[in-house]
Amino acid sequence: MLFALIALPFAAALALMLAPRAGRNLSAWTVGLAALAGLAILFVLAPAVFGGEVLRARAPWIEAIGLEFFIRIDGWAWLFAFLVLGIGALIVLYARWYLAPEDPPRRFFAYLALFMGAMLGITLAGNLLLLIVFWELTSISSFLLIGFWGRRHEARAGARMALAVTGGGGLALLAGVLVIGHIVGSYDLDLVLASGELIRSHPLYVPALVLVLLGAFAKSAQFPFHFWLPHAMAAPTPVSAYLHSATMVKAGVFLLARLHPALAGSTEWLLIVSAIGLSTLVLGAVAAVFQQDLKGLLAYSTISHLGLITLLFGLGSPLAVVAGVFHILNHATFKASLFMAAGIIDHETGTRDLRRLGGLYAAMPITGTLAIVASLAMAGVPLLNGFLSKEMFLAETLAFESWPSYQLAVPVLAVFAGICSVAYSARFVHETFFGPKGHPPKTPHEPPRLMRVPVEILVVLCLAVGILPNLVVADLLALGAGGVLQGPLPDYHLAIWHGFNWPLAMSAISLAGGLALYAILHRRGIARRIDLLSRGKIAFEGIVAALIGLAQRVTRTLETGRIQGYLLWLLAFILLVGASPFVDLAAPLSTKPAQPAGPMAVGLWLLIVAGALTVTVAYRRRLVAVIAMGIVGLGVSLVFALLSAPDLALTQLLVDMVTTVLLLMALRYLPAISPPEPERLARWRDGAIAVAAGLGTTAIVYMVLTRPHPSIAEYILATTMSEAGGANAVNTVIVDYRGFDTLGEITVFAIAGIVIYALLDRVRLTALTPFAAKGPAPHSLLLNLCAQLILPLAVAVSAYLFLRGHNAPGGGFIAGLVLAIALILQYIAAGSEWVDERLDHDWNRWIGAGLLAAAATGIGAFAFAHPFLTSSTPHVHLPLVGEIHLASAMGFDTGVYLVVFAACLLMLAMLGKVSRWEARD
Amino acid sequence: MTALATLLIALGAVILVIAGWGVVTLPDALSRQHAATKAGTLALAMIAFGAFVAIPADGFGVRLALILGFLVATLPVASHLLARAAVREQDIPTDDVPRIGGSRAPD
Amino acid sequence: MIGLSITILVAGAIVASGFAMYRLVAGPTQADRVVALDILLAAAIALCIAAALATARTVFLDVAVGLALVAFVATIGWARLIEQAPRGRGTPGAPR
Repeated sequence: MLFALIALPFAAALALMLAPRAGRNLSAWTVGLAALAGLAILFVLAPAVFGGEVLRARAPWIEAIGLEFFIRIDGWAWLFAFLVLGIGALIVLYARWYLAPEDPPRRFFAYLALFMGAMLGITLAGNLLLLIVFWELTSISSFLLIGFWGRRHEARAGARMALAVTGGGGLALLAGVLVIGHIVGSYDLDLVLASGELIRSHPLYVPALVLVLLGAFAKSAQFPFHFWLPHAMAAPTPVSAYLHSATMVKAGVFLLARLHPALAGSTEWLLIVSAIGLSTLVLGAVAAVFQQDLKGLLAYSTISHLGLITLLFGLGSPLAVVAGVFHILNHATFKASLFMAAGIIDHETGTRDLRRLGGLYAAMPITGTLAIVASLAMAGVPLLNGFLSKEMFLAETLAFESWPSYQLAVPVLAVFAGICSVAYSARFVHETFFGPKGHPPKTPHEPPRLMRVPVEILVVLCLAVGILPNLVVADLLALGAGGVLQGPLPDYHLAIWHGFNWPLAMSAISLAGGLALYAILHRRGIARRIDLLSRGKIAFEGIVAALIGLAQRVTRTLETGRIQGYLLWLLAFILLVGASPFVDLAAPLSTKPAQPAGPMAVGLWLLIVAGALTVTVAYRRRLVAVIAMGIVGLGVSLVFALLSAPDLALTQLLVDMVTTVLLLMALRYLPAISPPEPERLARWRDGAIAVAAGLGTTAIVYMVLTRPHPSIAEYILATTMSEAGGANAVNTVIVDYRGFDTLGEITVFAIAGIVIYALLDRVRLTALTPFAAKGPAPHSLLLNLCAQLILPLAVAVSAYLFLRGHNAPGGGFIAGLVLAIALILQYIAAGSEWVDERLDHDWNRWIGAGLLAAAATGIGAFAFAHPFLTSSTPHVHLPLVGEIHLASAMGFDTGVYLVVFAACLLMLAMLGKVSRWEARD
Repeated sequence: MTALATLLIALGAVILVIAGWGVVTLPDALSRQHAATKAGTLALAMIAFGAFVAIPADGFGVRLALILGFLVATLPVASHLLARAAVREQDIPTDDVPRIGGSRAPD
Repeated sequence: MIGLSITILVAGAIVASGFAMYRLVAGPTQADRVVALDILLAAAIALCIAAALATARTVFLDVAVGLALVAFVATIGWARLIEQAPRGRGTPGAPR
């Protein structure tokens, strides 16, 4: 069941990605149901977790590096998962109404589900490496979501910045986790949390601490990594409400809380975390006062509150931890509702600029009330949840003991930040809902009922927690705090009134001071005029620009755009690397005596040499050169056939053919005039490198052929029938013994096909040779008939070759190429237009399906508790046919078949499209 | 039996050589393609028959029949297209060539 | 006897290939080159059959089937490419 909990959002994302036409409702329902089902599972697990139990579920993944799929649910994980799923469900509801009709809903909700799953993964991970995997997944899904409106420049820039900063932090976090793993000896969270003393006393403690903190601070937008969050506000508001206020940015502080038993308690922790938290708190609060964008104000406020939480975790005492957990909950509640309200305002008025809004209360009274209540919570007004956690925070700052100056600075600065936070909350409320009516683009009115519901729910929660804390939230808080501390809870009780004490006074000062500050700023109109530019962004963009400049300079030297240059570099490098073993070669090149060569071998040798010489001599006449190259390929395949390698011979032939045809179609776009001859010195140099490389390769091949040594071939030949279920060793090696390799290769092939698609999709090429064909080639009835007759035959042959591939020469690759060649024939015979009318498929999807088939075969092995790509050879008894000996590698072969076939067809179709464009002009 | 097979195969080989010779010495692309396709097909047909006679195994027979059938069906088409290509390239006038259905086909 | 026939076959195929290579390099028009290619491919098929005879295994005939298909499509493809030239105005891939 625990695995189901984490798999649900991913399943929803996958389902959405595969469904071709899901509208808003279907997409929203899919993801919403996944969230609700997750919540249901949490409720089922609640009694056990509340009772103090820790639920665990393990599955092996990559044992060699200590990565295990370990789901661990204790109090803190349960609480945070509850937060993620609960707010997620509300956001789904909100987003369904927020998305404009032209936004693709399927993609949006799929990304949202992906993020939800990844966030759940961070929460529930019991293995630190697993946590990192999900951490990075949240960075990626956040990138996708921020850049959702990809046409806008600031969305793309913001997404890039977020990914760069959080990704960089993730890298530091990985390093820190590796160090911790090294110290403790395992990545298992149970062990890590129990080894706090060991970690803190280890000499590598400080580096580990700094690295982990870097990752956490980058993710939680702490100073100096805070600058990405305001720019992430270019995302759609549901995304801002979910990721950038309630969950993703909380991942950093979640991690701080999670690793509290392991890392906290030392002076370094106290100093670093509290100092950064304090500076972020103040910085964010001050900056928020001077923002002009609604979401920008809320973003800086989020930064400030996260600084508050970080400061609390930095202070380190158990009560501070409790306060931190409490504030995480409260902040998520009121900040998400505020963001959603800002989104509603944006949706209904068309603008987020505070300078253009005003007097909206009359037009949207209910939304206004909700937003006002949430802002009061943000400011820390009594009777709301923000007040309670702020009180605890202020009490902790007073109880904190350290160097006197620092001890004094913390509460003072906290009050200052409180003043600013009241000021910006007041600004938010006043300048949006009251005052003179602004000039928004659209006439404001209340939003659709269901869009407001999530805000209403969250605000009611704020009120409930604020008024009756013990009833509503005390148990949850105890649960969460207990999970963090991994030990007994301190003594505290939640109440609105603790008597007249310093924290109350500090709150009162903040309230009064904040209102006064706002009044002054508003009267003078200062707030509207200053626009604080974030230095961080300037620095970031500067670094990026410098890096790009460097990369461009390097690229310009290496990538000249001429293939000769690339080949030169490539061959020279290969020569250098390959020549090194020859330098001190003691043994003779061959240890077997030479054998006489038969007439066939000599003949083939002559053929290949003649072909190669023709290419070299006649390279300017391109037709001759291409034909001669084809002949060389033919000769090589005949050599393969001669050496009893029919699979290789067939593959070489077919690949040669397809390459030749593609070259044919491209020949027309090559210039008729050959490039100028390089000068003599360059020619000698190129010739020398070519000859040396050729000699070197010859020497290596010669040595391989004439030095017998035990190779893996014996093992493979011995076990191919018994373990792999096939008699054709070449095929079993491809799809079974070295299946992982092949998976990589077809991925590369698929990428090449897709790149060609991307390159040729909108290109307009003109044929450069003077014979540009105007219109299709002259029709030939004979050829058309012949091609049409051959096609079904070829399909049959292809299927036959595919099915028998495991036991006789054939297999997915060869069969795919045969079918591709048959379709090439159709293209040649009838022209690309005719074929495309009848064979109009999205080849990209076929390529994807092929990769999915291959990967699924590999993953299927998981179901039987075996490592990836383990194959099995069951004997299946079919009713009429009898007993069949199957091999699961067939699924993999199917994937190879599909990828090869679809990629070839994609290239053909693209070239055909290009030629049709050219003919049209 | 093997004598017959040897005879057939040898004959086929000789015809193949003649075909090559024809490609070299015939004057024109149009005539050369005759040598390649017609004589080549004949040569391969004889070789295939000879191979079948030499080793009358079942798998052999099926495959040889397949090869032969395919060649016989397709090489004429290849000849046709090669002829058209040769005509096109050398600008040989085709006004006196009879057309299907008696109408003039487009150029 | 079989050995003799195989030798003759191989020799014949090689000689024919030699002729074809000459025509490939020398042929004044592109159509000549494609014709040469056709002969070459036919010779290759003959070689495959020779190999099948020599070893009495059918796998080489599989290669020959593939070769036959490839030969046909290759010849057709090249011929089509040449055909697309406007009448007598030069051929693709040749410098002026």
